[in-house]
Order: sequence, then structure tokens, then C-alpha cells
Amino acid sequence: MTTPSCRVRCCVSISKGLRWVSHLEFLRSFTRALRRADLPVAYSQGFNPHARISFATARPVGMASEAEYVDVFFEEDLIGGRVKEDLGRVLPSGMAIPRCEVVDLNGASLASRVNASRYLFETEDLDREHLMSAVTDLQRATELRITRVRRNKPDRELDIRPGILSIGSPKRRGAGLAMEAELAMGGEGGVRPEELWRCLRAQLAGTDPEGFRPIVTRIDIHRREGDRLISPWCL
Amino acid sequence: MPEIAGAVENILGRVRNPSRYMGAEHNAVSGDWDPDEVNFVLAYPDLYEVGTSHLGLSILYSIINAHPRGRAERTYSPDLDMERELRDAGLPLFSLESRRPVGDFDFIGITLQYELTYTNIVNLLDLSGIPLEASRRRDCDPLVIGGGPCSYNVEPVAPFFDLVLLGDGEEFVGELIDLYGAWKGGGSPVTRGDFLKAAAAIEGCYVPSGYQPIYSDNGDFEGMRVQPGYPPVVKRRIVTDLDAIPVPTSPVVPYAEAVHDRAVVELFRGCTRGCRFCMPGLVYRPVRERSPGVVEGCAREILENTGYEEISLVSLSSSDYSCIDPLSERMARELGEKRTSISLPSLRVDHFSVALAGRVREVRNTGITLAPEAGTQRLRDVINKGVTDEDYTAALETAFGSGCDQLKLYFMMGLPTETDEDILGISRMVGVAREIYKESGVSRRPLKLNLSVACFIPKPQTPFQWEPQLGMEEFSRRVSLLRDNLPRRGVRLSYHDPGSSRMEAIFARGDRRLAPAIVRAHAMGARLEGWTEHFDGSIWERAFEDTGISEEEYLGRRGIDLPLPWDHLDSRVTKEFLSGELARALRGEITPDCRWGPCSSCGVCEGTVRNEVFSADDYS
Repeated sequence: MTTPSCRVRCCVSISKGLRWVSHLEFLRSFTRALRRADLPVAYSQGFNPHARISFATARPVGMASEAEYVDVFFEEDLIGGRVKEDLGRVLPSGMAIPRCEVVDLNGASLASRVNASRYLFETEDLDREHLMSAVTDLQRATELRITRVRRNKPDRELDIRPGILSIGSPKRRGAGLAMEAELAMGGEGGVRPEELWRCLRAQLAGTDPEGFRPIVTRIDIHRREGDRLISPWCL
Repeated sequence: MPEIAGAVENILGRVRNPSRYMGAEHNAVSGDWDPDEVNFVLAYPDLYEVGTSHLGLSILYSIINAHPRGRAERTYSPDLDMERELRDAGLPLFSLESRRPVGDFDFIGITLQYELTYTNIVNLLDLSGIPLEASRRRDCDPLVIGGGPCSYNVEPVAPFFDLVLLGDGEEFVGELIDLYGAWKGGGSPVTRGDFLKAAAAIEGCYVPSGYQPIYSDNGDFEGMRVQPGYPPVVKRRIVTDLDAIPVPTSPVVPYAEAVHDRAVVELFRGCTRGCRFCMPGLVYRPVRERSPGVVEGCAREILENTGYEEISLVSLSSSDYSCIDPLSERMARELGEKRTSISLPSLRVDHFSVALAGRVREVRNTGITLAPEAGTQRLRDVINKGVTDEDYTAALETAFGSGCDQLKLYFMMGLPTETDEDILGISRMVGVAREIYKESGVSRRPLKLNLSVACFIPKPQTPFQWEPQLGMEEFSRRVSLLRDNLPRRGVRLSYHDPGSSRMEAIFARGDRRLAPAIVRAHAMGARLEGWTEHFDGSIWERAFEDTGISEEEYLGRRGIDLPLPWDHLDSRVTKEFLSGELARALRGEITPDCRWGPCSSCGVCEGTVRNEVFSADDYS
């Protein structure tokens, strides 16, 4: 029906208070925010036209994020600043839009280009030395086998060690601990943050396994090519 | 009370669709709590996805929050997994906005939408740690207030409520806040009992503890003993000018998908068509239309504030709105540009309504739903449905002519005077639909026809309130008779579970002796019974047995001269009118709509209370 003439990449943050919103719910609420902003979004053709937007990746339920990337296609040429301002005004509280940029209309989808993400794990009821030693064990390991439960498919056993690209040492923050990790994303080699945490927990013998659950926040998403790191703004 | 917000966070990681318990939706009020305000928690006694679609609570939420001394938050029935987590962790039910225990609020407002939510009401109170019976609550406990369609015979659940509002809440709630504010501020009234007595003086406010039922030695209901200071009958509250009341133009937009995931604006309240089985058609009289300009303005504002893709123009019978043609055409033109669609629920069975639906929306793609309710002209006259065979065929010709190839038909079974001939009439009407479809020749695809049959439930405050409900065996026989007379292919027959309809009938015309059975059924695990997968009739059999209830007494015919348990709850329609309508029904006489025909003397109109109808000519 409408030919897009402009593609704007938006970085959206989702607060801890909103982390229980599912990806599908986020998609719906973002679409409605675009409608409230009355921006000239392009629509797909066909029987059931929908707003043309695409996400870099799906965020698991329970995760906060400082970096959800959404590409929105518009019927008119816009500048990123206007989208940021108009959308920022009508986003639900708990969501913000730190940056918007026009990107190449015909460029590849972000989903096909990004392959890694950085996460922050925050927990309040763990001892720092304890967690530190578990992290060290994990860094030294050459193999970490886990069982991945998949919906409508048989469980799969796999080694997630290659997908753990880096893991930082836990630091004190406020009353608790904070730890960062970079994990491969998407495809066969992708690792989910909760899988990393499961491995850490297995190292933490003697602690109550149910007693601590970190709050995970996605802090970045990018493409990693060896030592080179390419931000979504350059993809 | 423990600091529950953190504990709730832990639980949310383990339950299905956790955003239902999260709060923080767009347009929800913030979680800032002020103990000096009059704090309400509005509870919908069913799952979040049902409750967030309810217009009544959305109206009250916005009015209370706009009041200088009022504050409203929300809560819903937890799903089974969430309930288990709360109970295991020893956590009380909490409000979504500030995550405070429900027991901390001044008022718990519970909407009474449907008899099969009664166990959910008990569950809400139980999970909140509040004494179930109002008589056992202390001054520090919240006041539990109900309202909604089931309040016109709230008796089976009356012991659980401190107050019940009969009628429109828009004006009432402000008066209640003012009265309560004075009490909370240390003025008069002084005790909880004083407060309740003072509240009973507000028009529409029913205080069940002021009325004690009297039963004869053989258990017949004989009337209410009214405590001194309480009015003998409680008169329904009516808002006469719909343009004068606030409209929630910034409703909460849920994250989780709601059953009606769209914006809503009310066209009018009340309906005077006079269908004799329909309780809303009697207890919401007279017709009070909102002016089309206000509807249009509100719709625009709601869409700007929510971003919804669809807006529903609701009322009991939307195609009866005086300005529906020009209004829907104008709105369709404006909203089409913004890719927003309009929906008109509750269409009548006639050419006008179907053509209207076709103009605002592609009927071709969505199919059409019609509710003739009964299979023969004779029976439709008995129920005063006002649909003729000609209306029916004209509606179908219009629908099929525009390319519609999906039809849904609603009928009721077990209506007063129904015979096998009326059941066969349903199958004849199905045949007529298929014939007209074939003749229209518009589509080559076979017609998709869904036939839905519900069990007639005699409702209080209607002309059929004295009539019996059909037994389950006879219902099954009539369903079989219908099935045997339907074409083998091309018609899908579905029908309501007669077991849950029976329960609905027992409670619809029940009295206070049923309250212990509800508590018992809840203790045995009855929950979320509006959902077919959760309804278990065997629990009720045991609950009735344990509490000494004879179900048949509630299902049979009632003596027309005997007192009824809801006689003191005055919908403003007189009992004489109802019994007169029953007599006319049994003679097969119809009663015309008083909007266009003569006054039918139902007793509602007095002073400014009268049908308020616009003219399409005034609006262009």
C-alpha cells in the first residue's frame, strides 16, 4: 500500500519495572506509541496491513534492557531527532528512547547482522568472594554442557562455553553485586543469560539454589567479528 | 504487613503471563500512596485479560482518581499458578499500582458482572485476609462495596458486602468519598455501623446488614425485616444526562492482550426494546443517549491517548442509536485515514443494522453475528424480540449480497412456552439462511455457519422472573432434536454447558441461604468458573449437600403473589408491569418500544428521568 521512503533505527530502553512485559506485548505497545505520536509509519500490503517495524532480537520475559533496537519504516522522510522527540513524549512510563538515527533504507535487517549482546547481572543476596570464585571456575572451564529445553522440540544438550564471549568479575554496587557478561546471540551458538547463570549456580555449592535470582539487564547489542565490535548504528 | 513488592518480583519469574500482575501500564496512575486520601482498590473478580476490558471499572477509576480526595488502584483474580505462589509465600493479594495489600485500602470495590464469578469474589477476600462476612469485619477492615448487573439480586452474596450500589456510579462515588472522608477525618459518623447507616441514605446505596430475611417454618421466603433507619426499598440511582458525566478518555492500556483489545465509547445507556428475558433491558431504563458530538470528541481523544487500532461504539443495541448513521459514517471517514476501524456490537436482526455494519466495516472479511433468539414467530412474540421472518431474511440478503460467507446465529432454548415446533423452527431458519446464501451466488465458497444455543435463564427483575428453568435432561433432549434436524454438513452446532447455566439460574434468583454454599464450594476448590475448563459441577453438588440447599427449589416456578428475595431492590420498573408483561407473553402479545410507540407504563419515568433521544436531523 505505501512504499517506505525512510528507515529510522530506534534504541529503546525498558526499565526493571517493565521487565515482565513479553516481546509480543512490547511490540504491540510500541506500535500503539507510534500511533499516539501520529508519525507517518509505512504499512505492509495485503489482507491485514500492519505497521512496518522490525526488531533486532526478541527480549526474554523478565529482562530489563537499555538497548532494544527497533527499525521503523516511514512513508515520509524524517529526521531521527523528530522521531525521538515525538515518540519519547508518548511512550509508556518505564520506556525511554535514548537515540534515533536514519539508516540505509535498503540495508540488511539488524536481526541478520547482530550476533552478541552484553548483559548486566545484579543480585543482592550473594557473597562477593563466593561469586568471584564461581566466575573464575567458569572462566577456566573449557567446556560447559547444559541441557536446553526447547518448546515443541526435544531437549538438546550442548556446550555453551564457546558462546560465553567474556565474563567480568563481580563488583559491589549498592547493597548487592553487579557482574557483566557478553554472550553470543542467535543461531546455534547463542547463549541465554539464564543459561550462564545456571552454570554459575552449579559452581556455587552450598548456597540455596532458589535463594538468589539476578535481575538481568541487556546493556548493549552489537556485531562481534573477532576483536572487532560493530555497533548497531554502523550496521 | 510485610514489604511485599520485592517478594512479588520473585514470584513473577515463575508464573504465566506475568505482566498481568505487574501494573505500570500506560495511563495507569502512579504508585504514590497517601494514607490521608480515600483509597479504593477496584477489583474485577476474574482474570486480568477479562477485567481490563470492563468499561464500568474504567469509568470509576478515572472519576475516583480525578476526585481531590480520592484514589483508585486495581486488582484482578489471580490465575491458578499465581494464586498458588501467593499462598505458598504467605503473601496477600495486592494492588497493581502500589503493590499494597488489598486489606490496606479503605474500600474494595468489586463488580458483580456474572453469577459464576461469585467464588472468585470469595477468593479475592480470602486472599486479602479480610473476614468473608461483613458482620465479622472490624473498623480497621476495608469496606467491601459491590455494583453492576448482579446487584439487582445481590442476595446470594449480600453477606460478603458492606455496601452495594444499585445503578449508575458516576455521581454516587463522589458522595461516598465525601461521606467517608468526614468519617476518616474524625467527624461524624463515628463507628463503622454509623457510617453504613449514613451511607444508606445516599440514593442507590444498599446496606445488606440493615435487612434481615424472614423465612417461614417450611423455609419459604417471607420478606425482609428492615432495621430502623434504613429505607424499606432501595431505589436505583440514575444519571439522567450522559453528556454531563465524565468519560474515561485516558483509559489504562494493558500490556497483556485483553479479550476486547480496543477503545470503547458509550453511545447510550438503557434499552426499551423490551425483550422479556433480558435483565439489562429492564434494569437500565430509560434510554439515555449521549449526544453525537460528544461521542465523536471522546472517541478522538481516547484514540489519541491510547493508540488503539479499533474503537467500539457500545450500548445494549448500538444500531438503535438515533444518530448512528451519520455518526458512524463521519467517524469511519475520519478514522479510516488513520487505519482505525469501528466496531458496533449487539446488532439487531434487520436490514438496517446489517447494512450499517457493512458500511463501517468489511463484513465480507469478518462475517456477521445475528441473534434471533427463538425459532418461530410465535415464540419471538412471547419473548417480545420484535424480529420478524422478513427482518431475518432481509438481514441475510444484505449480508450475503455484500459477500459475507460466515454467519453466526444465536438462539436460546428452554424459553417459556417453548415446544418441539419451536426447536424445529431453529433448523428451518438455518435452512433459510443456506438457501438465501445459495441464491445470492456471490461467493463460490460454502457458507460457514455457526449455530450457538444457550440455555434460557430466568433472571430477576424481568417478566420471566417467575418462570422455571428447563431441566438438564430435557435440555439435552431438545439439543438432540435440533441436531437431528440440522444438515449433516456445513453447520457447526455449539451449546452452553447446561450444568453451568443451571448454576447461573440458581444464583440469579437465589437468596442469602446460598452464601454458605459459595463459601463451601470455594473451600473445595471452585475458581474461575466462567472458564469452561475450570467449571466443575460435582463440587457444587457436594457444596449444596453440605449446606442443606435444595437446588430444585431455586429452579422451579415461583408463585406470582409470593414475596421475592429481591423485592426490596428497586430497579424502578414496577412489579405490576413485570407481571403484566408475563401475562402478555403467555398470550403471545407484543409490547412496542416506548421510544417510538406509546408508553408501556413500566414505572421508570418521573421528572427528569425519561427517554433522552436525539434526532439524526439535528446532527449533520
